[in-house]
Amino acid sequence: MKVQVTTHGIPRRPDSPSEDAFRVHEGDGRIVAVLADGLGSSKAGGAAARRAVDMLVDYYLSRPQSWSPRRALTEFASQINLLLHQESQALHGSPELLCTLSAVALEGGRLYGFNVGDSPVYLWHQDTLKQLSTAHTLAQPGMHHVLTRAIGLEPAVEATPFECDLADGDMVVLCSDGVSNALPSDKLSALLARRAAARTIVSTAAEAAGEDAELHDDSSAVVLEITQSNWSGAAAPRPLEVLPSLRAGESIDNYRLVRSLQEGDRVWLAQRDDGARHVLKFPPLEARTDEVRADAFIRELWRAARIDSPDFARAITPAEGSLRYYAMEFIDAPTLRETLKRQPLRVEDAVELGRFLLRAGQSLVARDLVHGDIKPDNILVLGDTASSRFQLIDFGSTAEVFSVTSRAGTPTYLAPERFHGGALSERTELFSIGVTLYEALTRTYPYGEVERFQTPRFDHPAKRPSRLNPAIPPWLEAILLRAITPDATHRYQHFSEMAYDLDHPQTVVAYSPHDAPLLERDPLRFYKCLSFALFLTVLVLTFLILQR
Amino acid sequence: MNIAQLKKSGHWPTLATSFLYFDVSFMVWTILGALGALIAPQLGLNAQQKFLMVSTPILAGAILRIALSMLVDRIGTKTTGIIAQLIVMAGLVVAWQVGLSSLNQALMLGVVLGIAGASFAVALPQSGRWYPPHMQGVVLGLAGAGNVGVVIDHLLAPRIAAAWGWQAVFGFALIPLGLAFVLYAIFSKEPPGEFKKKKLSDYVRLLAERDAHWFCFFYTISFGGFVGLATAFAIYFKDQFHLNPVHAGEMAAFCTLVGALGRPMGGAFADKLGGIRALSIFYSIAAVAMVGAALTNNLWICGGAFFIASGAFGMCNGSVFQLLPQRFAKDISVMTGLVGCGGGLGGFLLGMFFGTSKEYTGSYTTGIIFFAGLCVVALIGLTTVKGRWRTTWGATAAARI
Repeated sequence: MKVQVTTHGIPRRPDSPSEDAFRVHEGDGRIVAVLADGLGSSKAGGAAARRAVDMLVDYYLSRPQSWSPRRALTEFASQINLLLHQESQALHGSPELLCTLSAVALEGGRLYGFNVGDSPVYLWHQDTLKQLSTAHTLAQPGMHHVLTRAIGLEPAVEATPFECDLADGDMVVLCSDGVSNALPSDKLSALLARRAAARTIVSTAAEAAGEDAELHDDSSAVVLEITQSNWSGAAAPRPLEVLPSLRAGESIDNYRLVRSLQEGDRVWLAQRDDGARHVLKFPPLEARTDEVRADAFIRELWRAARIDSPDFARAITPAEGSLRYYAMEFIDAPTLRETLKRQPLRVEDAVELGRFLLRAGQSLVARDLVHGDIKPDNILVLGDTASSRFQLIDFGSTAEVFSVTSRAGTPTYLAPERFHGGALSERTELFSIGVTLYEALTRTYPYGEVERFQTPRFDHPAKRPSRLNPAIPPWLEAILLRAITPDATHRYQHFSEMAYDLDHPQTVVAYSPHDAPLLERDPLRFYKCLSFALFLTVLVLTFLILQR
Repeated sequence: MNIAQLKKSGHWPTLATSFLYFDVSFMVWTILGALGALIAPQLGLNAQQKFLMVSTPILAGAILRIALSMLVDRIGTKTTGIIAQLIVMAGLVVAWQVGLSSLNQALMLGVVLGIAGASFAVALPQSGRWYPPHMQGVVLGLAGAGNVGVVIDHLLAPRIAAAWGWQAVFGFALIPLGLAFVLYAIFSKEPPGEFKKKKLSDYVRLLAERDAHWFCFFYTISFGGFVGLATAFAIYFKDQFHLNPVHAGEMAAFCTLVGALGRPMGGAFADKLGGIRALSIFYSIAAVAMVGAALTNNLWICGGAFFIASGAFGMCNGSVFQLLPQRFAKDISVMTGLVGCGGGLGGFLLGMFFGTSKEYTGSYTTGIIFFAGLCVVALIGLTTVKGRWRTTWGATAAARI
C-alpha cells in the first residue's frame, strides 16, 4: 500500500500558538491520522487537543487485538473524553480541557473513522467530494459555530463512527473548521482535483479568509492520498477465549501449567518448552457470560502490554490464535508482604522503596496511567541483604489517570476521597505509596485495616511512625505523614515533590496536621508564648504586691 | 433524603399500600408462634410437634418466596399480590370458622401462612421498581419495618385469646388483612417498564459461587436466629418459667422488638466499621448471649440474654444486607431471594433445635447451645470470605464494584 501523507497547520495570528493539533502514524501496513481543534472559549483547549491526538494515536497503535478498528476508535474516544473531563473537573472545577476530535484509520483497504465536534473529514472519490463526518453543531442559522458535542464537555460523549472502502486515487482530508469555513466545498473540490497537498489547502483557506475576522481561525489539514491500494497487514480481530477450569500439568500452547498462584485458579505459574517460567493470567470464568468482565480483561491485557519499563514485570500476549491469557515473566522473589512478616524494612531500604515507587509512578504517568493498586502484596523484593531492589506487579487495576471513580483497588490503601467518588490520580497514588511505606517501616496500618464495602472515617490522625519504629528519622516521618494526610489538598500533589523530599532530607519541612494544637505544631513558639505570658503575670503580680 | 422526595419520585400510594400488605402479612406469618403455647395443649402435642407447628410457616415462607418471585415476573406483581392475599385470607377464614383439630391441620394452616411470609418477594419489587436506584436504601429500610409485625402478634394475640379463645384471633387477624387487601387492590399500581425474568438457572448459577454459600449461611444464622427466637419465645417462656400466656407474650414482644429495631442500626454500623467486622462482633455477642441464656435458669437473666441475642441477630440482618447489594450488585434480586430462603430455613432449624432438644433431653439447653455453635461456624466463614476478598485481583474486583 502506498499513501502520500501531507500535513500543514498555521495559527490564527503568527505570534499566538495554534490550538489545533494533528498527528499521522504510518506503519505495519496501516495508517492512523488524527486531528483535533481546541475550543477557543475554554482555558486549556490547545492542551486538550494535543493530548487527545497523542493519546488516540498511541492507543490505536496498541489497540486490543480482539477489537475491530471501529470498536477501538469509539471506545478510545469515550475513554479520552472521560479522562479529560475528570482531569479538568479535578484541576479547574469546570470542563476546560475541550476540543473536537476527528480520526481515520486505514486498514485492509478500508477506512474507519469517527468525529466529535465540527472538524470535518472528507473523501475525494471518483471526482466527487463526500463529507464522511457529521458536524455536531446547532442547526439554527448563525449558530453553526456552537458545538453540541465536544471531547471533555461531559462525562460521556457519543462519537459518530463512519467507514467505507478505498480505491486507488482516493483522497482523505481531515481539517479544522478554520479551513472548512473559509473553503466552501466547490473550492475544496477544485483543489483536490489538482491533487493539492495540505500546505496548498491551508494557505488557500488563509487567503480566502483574508481580513475577515469572522473566518480567521487556526487552520490545519491532513491529506492522505491513496496511490496504490494493494493492502496488506490488516490484522483480523482476535477473539477472547475463556478456557474452562484449568488443572496443573495441563498444556496450553507451548506452556505447561505448574501450579496455581491464586485462589480461583486463574493465575498460574507455567513452564515453557524451552524451560523459561512465566506467570499466565487467564480471564475469569465469569467473562464467558459477562460482557463487562470480558472487557475489563481485554483492557487489562492491553494496558499491561503497553507498559515497557524495568520497574515492572513485562507482559506478553500469545503470538497467535485466540487471546486466552497473557504471560508475564516469573520472578522468583518474595513479595514485600512476605518479607514484612519476618521484619520491617530498614530505613535505607524504605527510602529506596519510596524512590522506586515514585519513579515507577512517574514513568506510568508519562503514559497517562496510574497503577491503582500499590500495596506490599504487589511489590516484589529482589536483591540481597546489602541492597534491596523492587519490582511492581499486577496491572489489574491500572487505568488512565482520572478515569476511575469507583472504589476499585485495595480499601486499606485507598485515599479517603476515593470512598466518596474522587477520581484515581497522582494524589491518590501518593496516599497508597505513603500507606505502603508506613506499613513497610512499622508493620501497622496508619488508619487501621479497611474492609471491602466499608466507608471508613479518617477522624483520628495516624500515629506517628517514629513511636512504632524509633529508627525512623524525623524528616522521613514528616514525608510519610504528608503523603498520608486524609485531606488531599494538604498532601503531596505530585510524585516529583515527594521524590525531591526523599532526596533532600535537610530541606524537609516538619509536618503537623493543620488543625493540630500549637504545642505539637511549633513547640518552640508555644514555649515562647507561654514564657511571655508567665512574664506578664509576674509583672502584674509584682505590681499588685508593690501597690499594697 | 426525606419524605417529600419519596412522595415526588415514584408512586407513593404503591409504596404505602404494598408495605401495609407486607407488614400485616409478616404479622400473620408468625401468628402461630404467638398462639402455639395455647393451641398445643388442645391438640395434645409433644414439645417437638409444638415447635414443628410454629416453625412450619417459616419453612414454607422460605421456599414459597422463590416461587412467588418467579410468579411476579410472569403474571405481574399486583396479580400475584392479590392471589397471595386471597389464599391467606381464605386459610384464616377456615381456621377461624372450622378450627384446628389435629397437627396435620395446623401444619396445613402453617403452609398457607407461609404464603404470607413470602409477601416480601411481591411487595419489595413492586414498590422498589418504582424508585430510582439511589432511593432503594430507603425502600429496603421501610421493608425492615415489617419485622415489627411480630411484636404486635405477641402483644395482642394472647390478650384476644384470653378474652375470646385462640380461634377468634384468626378472625381478628382478618380485619387488618382485609383492610390492607382493599387498599392494595384499589391504590397500588404495577411498576412501569420491562424487567428481566428470573429463571431457576439464575439461582443455580449463583449457587456455584462460594461467596453466595456463605451469604446464605450468614443470613440463615442471623434471620433464622431472629425469626426462630421470635416464634419460639412464647412457648419457651411459658414452658420454662410457667408464665401465663399474656405475660409470656410481653416478654417475647420485648425481645423481638429489639431485633426488629436493630436491623437499620446494623446496616449503619456495617457501613462505618465494615460489614465483615460488624458481623463478627454481632455474631460473637449473639453466641455468648445464647450460651448464657442456655446455662441459666433465672427468668430475668435468661430474658436479658435473649434480649441481647435477638438484638444482635437483628443487627446481623442489617449488616448482611449492607454487604449483599455491593457484593452481588447485578444479581441482587435473585440473591435476595436465595438469602431470604436461607433465612427462613434457619428459623425453621432453630425451632426444630428447641423442640428436639426439649423432647429428647427434657431441657432446651442442648438446642440453644447447638445454635450458638452455628454462630461460631459463621465467624469462621467470615474469616474465609475476608481472606478471599483481600486477594481478588483488580480487574475482577473493579468490574464487580
